[in-house]
Amino acid sequence: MRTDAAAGHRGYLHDAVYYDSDDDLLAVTVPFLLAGVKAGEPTVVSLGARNSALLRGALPAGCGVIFLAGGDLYARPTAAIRSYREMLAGYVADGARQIRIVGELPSSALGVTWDWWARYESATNHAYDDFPLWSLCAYDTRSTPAPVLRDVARTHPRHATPDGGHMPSPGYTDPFTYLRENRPVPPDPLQSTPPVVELFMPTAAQARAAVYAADGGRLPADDVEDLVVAVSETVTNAMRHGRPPVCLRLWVGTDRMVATVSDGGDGPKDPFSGLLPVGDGTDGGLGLWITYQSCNHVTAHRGPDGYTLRLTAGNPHFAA
Amino acid sequence: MGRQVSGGARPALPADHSCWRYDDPAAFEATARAFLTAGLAVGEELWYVTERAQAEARAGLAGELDRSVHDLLATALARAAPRPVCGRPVFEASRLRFVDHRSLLLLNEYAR
Repeated sequence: MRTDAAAGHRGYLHDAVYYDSDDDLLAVTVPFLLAGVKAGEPTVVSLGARNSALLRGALPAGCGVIFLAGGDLYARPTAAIRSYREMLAGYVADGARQIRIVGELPSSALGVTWDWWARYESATNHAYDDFPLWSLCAYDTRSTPAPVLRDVARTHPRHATPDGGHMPSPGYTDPFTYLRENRPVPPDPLQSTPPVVELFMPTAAQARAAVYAADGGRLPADDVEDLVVAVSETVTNAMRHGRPPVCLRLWVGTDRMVATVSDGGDGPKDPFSGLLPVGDGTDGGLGLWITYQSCNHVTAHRGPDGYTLRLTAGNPHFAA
Repeated sequence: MGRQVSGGARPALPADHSCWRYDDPAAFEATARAFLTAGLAVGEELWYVTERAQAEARAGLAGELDRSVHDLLATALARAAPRPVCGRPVFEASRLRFVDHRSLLLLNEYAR
């Protein structure tokens, strides 16, 4: 049976927490966590180091709240969904009737890679709805950019308040609608320079060879291999499911490689493509999901000229 | 024919089909290795199968396996039909440079 404000709710209850002081954050999260522990529910904290320490200091010692290393969980959105789903499935298999989580994204996620974390926040409304999960996603209004806060309001059905309330978000947008929108994506400054490689209608093998050749030993080998996999998958998808002309472009910077794969089609129809696997892979549907797990940033854009994926290996946090 | 292989290691031609006769397994292996290396050097997709007299047959995967050779890989597996080793098919893959998820799924399906 669900407890507190989640009583009678089925599936995922996804609340944002907007705070501008430590006191506000604690006022919302401490009662939430202690109520979960009291009810015997798996009660998890996945915050950065500072706020984890803040909560540890505010909670009774040994109270049973589980602290995760949030930084590792939130490396890439698709990997985070996988990790959380596995964790949630484990708790449910052990008999949990409700699971509580307080989480926050690292501050680096609120910059030029926010678009794919915004998609993550939206997708989780569907991706975690198999589970009796109630989570609070904390956002510091002092440091979170206004456009990010607008996306938070659109991707969280409710927000929790320090007085114990749970207010509906008027701008909440269903993920099936939100994920079909183009997210604003700052252009990588490398893209204002001529690409080092431009291949029209490449085979996947030619695309892979181009990535190896362009790297020239700049990036760690694992990063290059991951980008090779991602480029191979996206070129294969574009040639198989997209429309001509398919074009691969590569840029190389001191700390990253950027690849774009464009085609004249409309892109994948499934709004969760890349964030969740589609089917069992026997008829496609895994290529983009693998790509999202292989890159440090992936953006998608639909325009009048077709569909373009941008893949980044290495450091994706350029100065906008 | 002492320690010889007829045919020799030459690059493959489109739709080429060679037959080698040999009387020494070591000479055959050396020739096959040179043939495969020549293929790798020019970026060809390739696979090979060796059949041993013992109760095992080991298939070798080399080059790059992606969707462009998906049907060929399926055909190769069906025709080579390597007998399992300890209940599982074993593939020699030290010369495999790339394999995509579709090929891995195909190998997994074959293993079942």
